[in-house]
Amino acid sequence: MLDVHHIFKTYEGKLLLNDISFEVAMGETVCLLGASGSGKSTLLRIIAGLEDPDSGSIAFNGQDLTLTPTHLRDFGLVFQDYALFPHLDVNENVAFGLTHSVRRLPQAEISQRIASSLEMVNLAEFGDRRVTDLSGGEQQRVALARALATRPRLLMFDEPLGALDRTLRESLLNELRSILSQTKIPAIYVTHDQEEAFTIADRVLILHDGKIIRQGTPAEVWANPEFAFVATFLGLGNVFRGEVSGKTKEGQWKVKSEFGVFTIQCEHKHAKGDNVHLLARPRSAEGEPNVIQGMVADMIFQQDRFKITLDNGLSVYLPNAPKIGEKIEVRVKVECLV
Amino acid sequence: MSQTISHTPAPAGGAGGDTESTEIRNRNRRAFVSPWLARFIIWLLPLSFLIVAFFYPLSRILALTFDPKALTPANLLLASRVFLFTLYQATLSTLLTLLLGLPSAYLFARYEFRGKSILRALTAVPFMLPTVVVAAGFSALLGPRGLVHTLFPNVSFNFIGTLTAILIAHVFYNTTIIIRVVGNALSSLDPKLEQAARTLGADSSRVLWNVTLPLLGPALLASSLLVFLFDFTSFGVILLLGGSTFATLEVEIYLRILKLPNLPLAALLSVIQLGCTVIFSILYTRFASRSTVQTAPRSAESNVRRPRTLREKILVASLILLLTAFFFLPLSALPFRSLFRLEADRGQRGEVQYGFTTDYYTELFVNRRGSIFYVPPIQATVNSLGYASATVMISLLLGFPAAFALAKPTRFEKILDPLIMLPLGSSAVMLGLGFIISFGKWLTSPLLVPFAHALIALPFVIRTLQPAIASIPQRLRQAASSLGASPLKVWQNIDLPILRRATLAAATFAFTVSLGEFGATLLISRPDYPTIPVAIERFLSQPGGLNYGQAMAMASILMVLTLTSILLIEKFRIPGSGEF
Repeated sequence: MLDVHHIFKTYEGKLLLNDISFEVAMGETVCLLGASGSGKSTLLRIIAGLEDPDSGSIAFNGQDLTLTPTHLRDFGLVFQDYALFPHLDVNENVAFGLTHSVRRLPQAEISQRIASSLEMVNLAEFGDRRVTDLSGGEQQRVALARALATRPRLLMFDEPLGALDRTLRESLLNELRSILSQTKIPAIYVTHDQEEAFTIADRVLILHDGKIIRQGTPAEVWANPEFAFVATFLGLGNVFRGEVSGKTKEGQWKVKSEFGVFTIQCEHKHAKGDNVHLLARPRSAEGEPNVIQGMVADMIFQQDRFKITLDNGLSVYLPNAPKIGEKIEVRVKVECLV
Repeated sequence: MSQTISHTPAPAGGAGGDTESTEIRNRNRRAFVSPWLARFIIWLLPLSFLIVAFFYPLSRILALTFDPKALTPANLLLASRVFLFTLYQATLSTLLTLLLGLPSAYLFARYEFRGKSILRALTAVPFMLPTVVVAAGFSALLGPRGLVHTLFPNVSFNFIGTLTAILIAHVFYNTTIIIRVVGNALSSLDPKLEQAARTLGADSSRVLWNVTLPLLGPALLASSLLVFLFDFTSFGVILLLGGSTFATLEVEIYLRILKLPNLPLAALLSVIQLGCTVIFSILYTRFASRSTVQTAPRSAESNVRRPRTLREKILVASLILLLTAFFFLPLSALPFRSLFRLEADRGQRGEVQYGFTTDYYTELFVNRRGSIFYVPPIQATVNSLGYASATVMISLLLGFPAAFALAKPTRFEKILDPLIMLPLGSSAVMLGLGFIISFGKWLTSPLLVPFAHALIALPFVIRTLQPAIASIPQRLRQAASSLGASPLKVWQNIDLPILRRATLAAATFAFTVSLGEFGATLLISRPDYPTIPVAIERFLSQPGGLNYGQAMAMASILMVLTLTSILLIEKFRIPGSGEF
């Protein structure tokens, strides 16, 4: 379906997008995950045709769109701050892409589409309201309905829930998921929030320094972040440096660090003295060979567990609360990262 | 530059919080004077002045208007004809101003190019210049003795004395209003709205018609009305460039006072004029308050860019070229023409020395026999500076108490506020008429001029001082005294520095207004006490190259004085204050 091919873009002398290529398949939701300034919004705007890449191409169903102006691309875009037309009411906003565009539709079809789009976002009764009177969540639903009404061949979301509070974000995210799976419209979803990304995405692309450094299903990325940046960015646990100090008879690596020596099972080819990054997952895991230890400095109650911060800065999850100042040892899974 | 952009009474801002009234109340408590008495004392001077100099003459004009002598069928017929022509030329001028202003507003709001801020400043210069200078500038460029005619004798066209001249000068004057108001609205428009429209399938013309223009509507209406208001009340440009054939209300009032005296008719015309300005001002205030466009403070992304496609580049370049030529040529023709002799002086025999000359300036110092003045013409400059200084003193003396009271207005003062701004809405010629009717017997006194100028300058002075006074935060004073500063030290270190800047700005404002004032001065100044604008008008109406050259020299002097003052105002003005 959508083919993004070797996109390069510099902005104010800085290489913002460095050879970005990926595809979006029929009915697939791809999530671009990255910190602010990672170029993810720019990439979205290039796909939408609102900005030009320095080089590279955008194609849909094999048809090159790189030089096609935005209004002929038939890609819907939902902005973080909604971008509703303040001079139009809800109906007129939703109708905009049908009445003020290159599309030519009979009036009956237009009314039918407005109704069905508003129904899809649960705003069936809101048609005559002024958009400036709506709450943030309602405005974003109108923006979504407006994009859906044109039946675009691709839907793009630029941090669509960024301006909303947590509860609203969760419920809207679930609605969005079901709408996307119902309509089967392929979608690109840009966010900096890993929870949001893992909830909505069939596939996650992690953008860092202008490159896609890791991609895969949420489960794959979670199970194997591969890069220290990815593990830190996703908040998977304690990431620290270590030095390979030797190999066990079973073919596992011995890695020395300021938190002790760890035994690591991994596919990498290491040599003695190599610098590596380690990820110590905070969940206590029976049967693991590695142990982290320290004195309890602080703890936070998190519903079904306690998040313990040790005096050396590491953190672990425990089912029961230890005492502050107590010395503890926790068995955890430790992985090797690039 | 923004101070004079909008024109109507804005509601007095009480934004500064609990400032002056608290202080006055405290002071009063100490002095055992009731607040009402204090307010009375504060208002005594400014209100007496307004009553004597404005409302009394206004009542005399009204009385004259509703006299059976004024309301004759012939007078009414002439009044309606003049009114219709005024309406016609103002509408035409506004449309032409939009024709140039809208693309220019778009240019400044959306495109980045070299020299942009210089070009923007250049387009704003005419608006700040006295009308006589603008008229002289166009005369120097396109008039019968101007650069184009003298340098290319074969080119034959009439400019001075045509409707075209009036219209072009109005466009020259007011384009900056459209650029500012519409341009500001355009650049504060969230670019995402247009982008959203594009992703929904709207091409660029649909985006323009269905998104951009509707959102700009209120700003467009407000700025057009303001331009219309200025075109409707314009006097100097029409008198000097159009001549008496194109009599608008203003010009006709002037003619009916000095040339074909008929004071009842003049009064009738000025009441029509005042009624129109008040209605337009109210409409303008209404639209202006709605002209704040939906903005997106969160999106830091700018929608200003360099032109990209060849078509864009050509359009942008030609507009820049047009604007530069249109605004630069008349302004530069004036000083140029004042330094180059291009035609024979009057009565000059033998060889005419064409080329560079300082004669027009040196001649200003000579008192020729049979000249149109009884003094060396340079005396006009001295008079102008003297009048301007007197205006500064009078208007500050009256403006300070009023501004202090209006900074934290009581309910009574909120009603008073628009009344104090009313002189701004009435035309200068009408003020002159009022003075003539009311104080005819003192017309021999040169003192009348600074009082008329102070009346015109007072609203500007109050509007400059008032926000500065209101902006002195009470909390700052409290912080200072909690840090151990005595009340005197607080006044010295907090109030004074803020007020000093505002006072200087207000003073320069009054000074500039007085320097350039034309309409009222023309009517009430004594022939032997001309001001610079009056002298320019007289020089221009005389034959002969020398007179013309001296008009150019005088206008150049006035231009330099005005521009210097404007620079000073910009320097002293507290950013964001002083919008009218």
